[in-house]
Amino acid sequence: MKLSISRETLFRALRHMSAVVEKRTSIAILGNVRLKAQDNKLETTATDNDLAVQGVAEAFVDEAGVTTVNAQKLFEIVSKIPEGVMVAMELADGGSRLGLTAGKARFSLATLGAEAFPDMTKVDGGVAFDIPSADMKKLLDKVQFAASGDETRAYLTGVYLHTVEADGQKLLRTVATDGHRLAKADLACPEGAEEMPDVILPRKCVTELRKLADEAKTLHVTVSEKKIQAEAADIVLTSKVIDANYPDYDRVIPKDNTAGMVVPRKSLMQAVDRVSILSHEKTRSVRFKLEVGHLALSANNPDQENASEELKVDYDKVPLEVGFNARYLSDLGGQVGGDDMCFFFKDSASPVLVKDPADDSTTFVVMPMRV
Amino acid sequence: MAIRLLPDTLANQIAAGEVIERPASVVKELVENSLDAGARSIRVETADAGLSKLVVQDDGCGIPQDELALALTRHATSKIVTTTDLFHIHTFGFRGEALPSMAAVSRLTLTSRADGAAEAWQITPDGELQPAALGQGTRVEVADLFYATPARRKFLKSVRAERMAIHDVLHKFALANPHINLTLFEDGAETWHVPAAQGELLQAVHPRLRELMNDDFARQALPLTATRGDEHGARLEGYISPATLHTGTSRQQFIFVNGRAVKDRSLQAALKNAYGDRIPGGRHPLAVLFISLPPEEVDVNVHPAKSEVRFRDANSLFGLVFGAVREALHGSVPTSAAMPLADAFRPAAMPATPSWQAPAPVTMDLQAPPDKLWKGEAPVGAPQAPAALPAEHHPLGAALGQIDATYIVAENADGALVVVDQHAAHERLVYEALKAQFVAGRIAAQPLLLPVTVPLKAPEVDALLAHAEDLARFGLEVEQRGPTAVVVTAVPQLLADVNPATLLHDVVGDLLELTPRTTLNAKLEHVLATLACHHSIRAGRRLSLAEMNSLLRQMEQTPDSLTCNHGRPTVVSLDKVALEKLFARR
Repeated sequence: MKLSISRETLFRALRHMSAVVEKRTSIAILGNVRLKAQDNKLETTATDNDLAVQGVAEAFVDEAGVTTVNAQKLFEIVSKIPEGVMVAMELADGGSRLGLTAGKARFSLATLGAEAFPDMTKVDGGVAFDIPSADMKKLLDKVQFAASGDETRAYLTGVYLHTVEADGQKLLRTVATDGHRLAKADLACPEGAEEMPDVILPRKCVTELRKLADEAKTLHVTVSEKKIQAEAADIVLTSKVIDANYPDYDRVIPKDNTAGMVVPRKSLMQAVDRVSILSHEKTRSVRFKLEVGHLALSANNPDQENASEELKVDYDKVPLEVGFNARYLSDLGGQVGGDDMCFFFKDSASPVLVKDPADDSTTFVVMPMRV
Repeated sequence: MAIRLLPDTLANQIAAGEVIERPASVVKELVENSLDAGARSIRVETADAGLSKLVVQDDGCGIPQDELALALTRHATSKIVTTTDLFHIHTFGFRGEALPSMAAVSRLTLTSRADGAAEAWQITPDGELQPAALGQGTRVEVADLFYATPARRKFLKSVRAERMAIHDVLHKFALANPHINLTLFEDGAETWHVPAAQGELLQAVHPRLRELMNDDFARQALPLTATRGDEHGARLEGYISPATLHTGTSRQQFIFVNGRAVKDRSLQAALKNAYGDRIPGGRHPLAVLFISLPPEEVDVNVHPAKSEVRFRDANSLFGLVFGAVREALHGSVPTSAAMPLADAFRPAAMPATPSWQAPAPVTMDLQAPPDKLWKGEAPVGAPQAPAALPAEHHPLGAALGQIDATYIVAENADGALVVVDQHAAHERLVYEALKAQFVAGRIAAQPLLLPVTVPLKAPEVDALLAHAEDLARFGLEVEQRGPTAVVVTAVPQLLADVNPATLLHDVVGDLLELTPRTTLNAKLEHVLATLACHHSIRAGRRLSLAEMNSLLRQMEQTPDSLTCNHGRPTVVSLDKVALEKLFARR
């Protein structure tokens, strides 16, 4: 293998790798990036066996070939080479070393044979469609906060991407829940995605997909039962999906919560922020006392300190008292884009529905706390 | 083959298989007989660890001449008469199996002179009754043990192991019967002797702790006494190790029920749980516990060797032990200076014994500046003079400074050097405060949006539901879903990030032995401990003398502050004597 490539092009091709590569791994080759040179192109691939990122860059290839080197070191070297310098790479010592020259700097990196490199970038079958990057990003952004961090229940750590039929319209939907709260976002189904299999996207995949969405206007997505692949310009992301059944979330979305409250989002968030200073630092519970036109927030802690604050709200149903985890409320406030938030209550123990009046495509549910 | 009634010899040999496993079991059975006979002094002789000869001689009530032969007959006993007696057992033996079993597997000579009889009589291995010479009491000689059952002989361990087993048995008797004079002769020489002690049980047993447990335990053991119910209820007495003394095994825990050494996992669990986070994981406290119960409350007829018993009300005993140990540990606040090296512990109720003497209080001139020790070169934090402190109230003394910004060095009124790990100590203080708040407040529950169904075994479901109310108070709410599953509908808010199924399995895991709240409590305490860790003074922080003194005073007022949340010690002290030894002044 022998080639030369501009530092910028190589840097672009490698920039997504470092997030994927395992820094500490017992399988040495997973710490490496695969470099494949042919037809005046350099293909770079990194994987952790669950997720793979592949970049393609223009290069002057004198001799085709393939090898793997430590991804972290290669990335660091390239990022420290001044801009505008050409980088030359050549396999030496019968393939056991990769020589890298940039200006007066020379590096000799140890290689591992590319045969052992797991290639998981192939997706068998599946449904392919194009989706505007902004739409994809929104679907993921609006729900990921509600996913669980509990690795023992893997299916709750992911985002459930699936299609549904609602009011005669086909929708592409994402859902995430940690068992205490739930978020749901809808999008008119992109053309070609109607038959997409339901998948649970792992957290790392969601994070990388969101980054990828910043790279291009449109993502070309392929979804199979086992994998999801997304292409943006010169980068291809492939990820396994979580092999599990997603819980029947629709059942827990309240349908008959009639007591609606409209509250200015900013003032609610600020009030929660202030009042929760004196809540129990671990449970962070904040109590809502709701009367006609009027919401009182209060919190107290084990030191017998307490805080309260009142807000004018749009509410005309029976008085109600509900406890919330302040963190859950703040998370919700961060996802609602409009000026107001709508809460729909049933009683003090049932799930509470939260909507963004400015965006009907999202739905949030949060379970009150018993305090 | 036709069915036949077994000949007596064979039946006795089979029974011996259950009762007489090794020489130590012979010792156990015979010493129990002696105790039942009201002996004040018991002498045990062995040759080859009892394999060739084993003699137990007592000064008890003896056996009349005309009953000697009957004593060797199976199911012959003087100890019970009717079935009712079986459930009111006051004696160690009652089955009438021990002597005939031994006689079946060895050459047994029984010699006895009954109370008031003019002469002693002896029954030889061949069954001959003849006059003999003996003071009042009974002498049983067992020779050539297992000669009749060579198979058993093959299963015996080394002579050394058999000797150890005999020692173990005698140690237990010595602990449980401090008023008995016990002597052991091995291969002709006296190797062990404990004289009879006087006084109440606790007081009498104390001199024996040094030999039968160890020095540290004898010096530091905390006495405990507790009763449940009226004078017919359960009574618990004993000694436990302070939280700073522990071992790697639970073998140093002796539990006696009505004088009988028993193994009982539930009572051991009660002991261990009462120490809770005071001792490090994987370590075990030392304890000698005596439980007295009305005989009808305990069934000893469970196992031929009687090492296991059944209690009518095991739960209440669990509570009795748990509560008493907790209280005894709480009582050992540092104001009584039960520090790892301080040796200054002296419970008021107990008279001091020679093995137990506290160092004489050193009268110290309080006006002398305590920092004179450190003249100039010592790394003292802030060189301001500490306020003089009244002596007896402050066993942790006045702070002198810090070492490595991690350890507080203090001198107390007895001239002892006290070193405190500031992080560990403060962590414990914060933790105790959090726990107190937590107990005082209600426990917040987070109901689940997606209730979690957990499949369990049917008895587990029943046990869990039986405790449902208790669990709900801790914020864990469960409902039955069919005979083999429950639904978790709410979890304690402090544990909201935990998988509810895992949490439930953990709770169920301990359910059958303990109360589930113990598990939940432990988990909640763990969260609080983490919280405490993040809120306590770090190692490496410079403290002013005022801050150090305030920490020492808080420790003196906080129960359990001698160990950190992880069971490591927070305080080490070197008393004046130890310091003088270091410098070869003594």
